[in-house]
Order: sequence, then structure tokens, then C-alpha cells
Amino acid sequence: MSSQKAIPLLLLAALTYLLFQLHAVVFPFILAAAIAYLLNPLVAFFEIRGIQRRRAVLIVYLALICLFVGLAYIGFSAALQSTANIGAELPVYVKQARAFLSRNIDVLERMPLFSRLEAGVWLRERLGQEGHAWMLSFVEKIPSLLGVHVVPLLEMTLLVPFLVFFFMLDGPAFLEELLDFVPARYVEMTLNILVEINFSLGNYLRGILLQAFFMGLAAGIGYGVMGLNYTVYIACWVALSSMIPLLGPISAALAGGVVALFQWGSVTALLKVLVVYGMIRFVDEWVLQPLVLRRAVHIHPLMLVFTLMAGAYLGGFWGLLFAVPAACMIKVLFSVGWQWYRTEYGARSFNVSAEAAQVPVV
Amino acid sequence: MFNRLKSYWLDPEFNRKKQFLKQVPFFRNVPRREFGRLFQALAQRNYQAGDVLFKEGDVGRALFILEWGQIEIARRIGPGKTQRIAVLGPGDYFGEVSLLDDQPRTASATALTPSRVYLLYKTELGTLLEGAPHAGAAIMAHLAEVLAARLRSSMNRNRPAAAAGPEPLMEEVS
Repeated sequence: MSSQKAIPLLLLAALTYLLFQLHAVVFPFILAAAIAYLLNPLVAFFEIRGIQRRRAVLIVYLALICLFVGLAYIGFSAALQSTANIGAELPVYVKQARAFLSRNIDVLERMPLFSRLEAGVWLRERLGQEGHAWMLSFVEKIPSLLGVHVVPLLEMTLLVPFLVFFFMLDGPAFLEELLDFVPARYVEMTLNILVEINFSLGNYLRGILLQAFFMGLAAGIGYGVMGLNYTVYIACWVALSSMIPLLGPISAALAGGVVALFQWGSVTALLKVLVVYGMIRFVDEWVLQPLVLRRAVHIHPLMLVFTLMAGAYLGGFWGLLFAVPAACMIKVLFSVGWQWYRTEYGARSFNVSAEAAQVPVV
Repeated sequence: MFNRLKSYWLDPEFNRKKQFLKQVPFFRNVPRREFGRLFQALAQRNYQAGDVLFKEGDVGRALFILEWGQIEIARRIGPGKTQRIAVLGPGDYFGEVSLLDDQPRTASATALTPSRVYLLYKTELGTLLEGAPHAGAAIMAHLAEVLAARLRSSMNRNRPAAAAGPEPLMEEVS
């Protein structure tokens, strides 16, 4: 390989390694860039009507800050109320859960798998006084556990909106500078890559956001009608977790099911919540996804599992959330690169023109 | 007061671009209200004198519209020899056939002076056809007219001299 080709490749490898080492620092920038990218259609709405980008960004940004502050105020008020409720209600829930398990432990012991694993004995031990003390000590730990996650979240809440503003303001200018930086002859190729990524990733992100909104709304209505406690939180979790393939739906179903089990202490209530969630998923899988994700990038299930594991390893929860969009981007890059290679080296034949050339022109 | 408010909000570049693109035959029939969407589909690039935009044989993927400057279109006629086909100026466009297929360019394009060019990439044209169908259809209709005219011109050239029409001024660059 000539040094002309090797140097850019080495630089790229060094940059990738640096980004990997600094992924915790880089993460707020990636998150801000992703949010700015998602908000760009709102800015474009004003821009295509002739409004200056700076003014359009200001309008969108102020509107979103107002919306965010309003929602945060409502959310925090509800969260404080719920925390107070949880403190009062959790011992009751623990008692109900213990009573429920005590009632059904015999049924469990009759099941061959559970009897072989001696699950009944294990459960009886947990249901004793020691188990009760453990459950209550866990409840006492909840505020400190929340504190560990709330502080970085607050840091992100302050930093990310600040970064988003600049990404929104200068996003297209970055692209123009990138195009000016690229050697003249490779402008078309760069544009090709950028447009294809924008097309595929844009479709994917808009699709999953719409899907998340629908899932959250449907769960909110469904669970609200049932009278399930903490409906707003569970609906938010259903919406957020719908963006994480495989693990998301399982955790969303579990969240509703566990609350129903603790609230009503019966398997029927749990099943009702699961049926409601199943119906929402059915509509999502069979009606919504074919509509909103029809032009999104498709990833093989095995690759999806690998992507999620890698995302979780690198970035925890946020890594899980961004794993699939990142995989989409990599897939598009490969696909564009392959397409470029095929057309550049003449491997692709354009059958329509060959056939059309045989037809006489009249 | 109203004018000051208008100038505070409105982008002066928007009108300038609009006036320029209206002069380009490709966009002459684009409805006024869809110019904003057209701008979103265009990328802009400045070139220095001597910059090669593309070479003969490169796979073409975009339409180029020259806002200012001069671009030379040349074709290889033998080993190390090229022939100038045309020198394009402000408002001219080239590489339009790339909006239809991924075939190699039939000529090279080089900037003779500092130039500014707008690029319309073919996937963006597809997006434009969905988001602003009147604009997309106007562009496609003009493209069809250009190709039909060149096809007839090419057929006339292949006929016996008596039946042939006038020679075209510039050959197409795909």
C-alpha cells in the first residue's frame, strides 16, 4: 500500500481509537448532534419559507425550551408526589407480594421444573423475616440509588441543550465546510455518502420516534383506563424502551406486569396488563411499523443482538439506545462504499439502458 | 416598520438564490412556493481555478449548476490529448444525465476561474419528487425535453448530409 493511502487510513484508525477511549466525553456531543439532526426538519420548515436560519433556530429552540421546562415541571411534581406515595405504598406492596407468593408457592412446587430446582425452598427462605428485612432495606436504598443516576442526568440536562443550540445553528455550515475541505474530484462521492446516510438514518430515526410516541400514547390510554398506578411513568418507559429492540419490549411488558401484580396482587390483573401490552405491540408490529419503517435500514437479528451487546458494553443504557442507529449508519457506509466500488469498477450493468438502446427511436 | 421587520426575519440569500435559479432552464417551471424545498436539496461548493470537478470515466452522480465562474468541458481524443468541447458560464448546467443512471462521465470538467457550483444529487431529486412533486416534475420534464432534443440531434447527425439538421453547439456531458 502506498504511503498516500496508508496515512489517511492510519489517521482514521488513530481517530477511531481516540474516540473509543474518550467515549464518555464524546457521548454528550453525539447525543446533541443526534437531537439537532432530529430537530432539523423543524428548522427547515421555516427556512423553506425564506426565514434566516439563525431566526428559525431561535424560534424552534425557544419553543422547545418552553415545552421542556413545562414538561420537566409537571414531571418533577409528579415524581415528588410519586416518591412520597412509593414510600408509603411500598411496604404495603411488599406485604401483598409476600401474601401472593405464599398463596401460590404450593402451585409452583408442583411444577416439575421448579420442584427439581427446589425453587419452593428458596422462595420460602426469602419470604421469611430475613427476606422481608432485605426487601425493606432495598426500599430504603432507592433514594441513594436514584441519586447516583440523577446527578449525571442533571449534568447532561444542562450541557446537552447548550451543545444542541450550536449544532442546530451551524449544522449545514459544517457540511459546507466538509464539502469545501474534500478534494474537488471527490465532492460527488462525499455528497453521495452524506445523502445516503441522511436518507436512511433520517427515515429510521423519524420512524422510531413516531413509533415510540404511538406506543407511549397507547400504553398511557390503555393502562389509564385499567386504573394502573404510575401509568404516566410506565407509558414513558414503554415509549423509551420501544426504541431498544428485543430487550425493550420485554422490559416494558415486565414493568406494567410487576406494577399490576403488586397493586392488585392477582395473576388475572397481571395477565390483563400483558394482554393490553400485547394488543399495542400487535398494532405496532402489523400496522405501524410497515408504514413508518418501510424505508428504514434493516439489520439481521443476529447482528442486532451483537449491536445491542456492544452498545450496552460501551455506553450502558444510552449505548443501548444509540446502538441501532449507529449500526444503521455503519451499514449505510458499507452499502454506499460497496455500491461505489461496483459502479466505479464497472461491475454494475444498467439493464434498462441496454434494452432501451435496442428499441428504434420514432 | 414592516420592511425592517421583514428584513430582520427574511434571508437575503434566499431571494438572491431564487432569482438566480429561476434563470436556469432546469428550474424555470418550478413553482415559486417550492423553491425553498429546492434549496434544501442543493449542495453548494466553491472551486479554485484548476480544480478538476470530475474526470472522463468517473461515475457521475450529480447535476452541476454553475452560479459564477467558468468551467471547461473537455474530452480525451488520444493518449495525452484532450479536446475542449465547451466553456460554460454562469447559469449553465452539466452532468444532468447522472440524475438518471450511474454511468461513467463522457467528458472531464475543470474550473478555469474561481467558481461556485450547486450540486443536485439524484437521491435528493427523488426526495424532492415526493416532498415537492411540482418542482420534481418540472425538473424531470425539462430533463426529458433535453434528452429528446439530443436524441433527435444525434439521429440527424447520423443521417445523410442532405437530410441532416444543424450541428449542435455543445455535446452532452453525462
